[in-house]
Amino acid sequence: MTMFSFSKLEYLWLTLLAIILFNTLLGENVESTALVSILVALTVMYKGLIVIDHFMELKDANKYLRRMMRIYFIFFPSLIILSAFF
Amino acid sequence: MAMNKAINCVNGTHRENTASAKTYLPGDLAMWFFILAELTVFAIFFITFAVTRQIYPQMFIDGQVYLHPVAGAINTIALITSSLFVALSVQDIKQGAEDTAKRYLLGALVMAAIYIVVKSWEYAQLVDSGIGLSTNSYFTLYFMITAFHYMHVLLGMVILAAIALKIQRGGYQGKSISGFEAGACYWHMVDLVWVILFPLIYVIK
Repeated sequence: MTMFSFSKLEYLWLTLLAIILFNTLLGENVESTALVSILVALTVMYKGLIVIDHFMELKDANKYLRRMMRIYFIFFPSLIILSAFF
Repeated sequence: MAMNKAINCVNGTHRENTASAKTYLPGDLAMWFFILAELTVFAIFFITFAVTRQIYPQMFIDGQVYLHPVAGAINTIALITSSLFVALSVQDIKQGAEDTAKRYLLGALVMAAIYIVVKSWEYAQLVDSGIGLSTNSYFTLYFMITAFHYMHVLLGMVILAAIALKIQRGGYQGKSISGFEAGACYWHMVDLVWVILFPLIYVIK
């Protein structure tokens, strides 16, 4: 009998699904606060970096390209955090 | 001495492999220019959306009432899952497992179709409620940004279908998979944009 086993990509996918559900619950049930915006921004950052490094396979690829893509997913969530205070 | 030389040699090879890995580009350069250009356009949309929200906060709160966060979550799950299938497909084609690579691509296409159906349903709901592009600034931006992304999903589906057809015809047997990787990276870009769009439009109030 063969055991069904998940690869690293599949574990990461499950993590992303959990984050999506968490974000949806936050949006549906919690009043908007700066803390919610910060939490959501951090999860966006994490999701983006996971997709860039593991799904796009940029982790061990061209370092300039990887840096540009990662900066994008650090910059925009940071703007979400900043906008929560203004 | 000989052992030290052997270790240095192995280390040297390791360094060379690491160095070549760090310059490796999945897909081709033209596709990456295209992806970066597309991300720049979406960046302008994100900034416009965020700035307009700051100017008309109440309009955005009122507009969000008409959206369906569960539909947004279903679409996010569909796109993330399709991205997983595409990544697994790339892994399989590298190992020469063409049948499973093709099956994963078809799975990705099914997930993309779920996105299209759910998003179309959302648009239909809004139109039935009398909401359109010119209702107010919130809905102008909502329709422009999401419809622009919707068109990218449709283009991505065409690209994935073309890759699946090429696999079917044995087009990657012993040949470069650069085109395959380029298509896969485009699809991941479509997913990445939605990763920002979903919380920006549905979650943050």
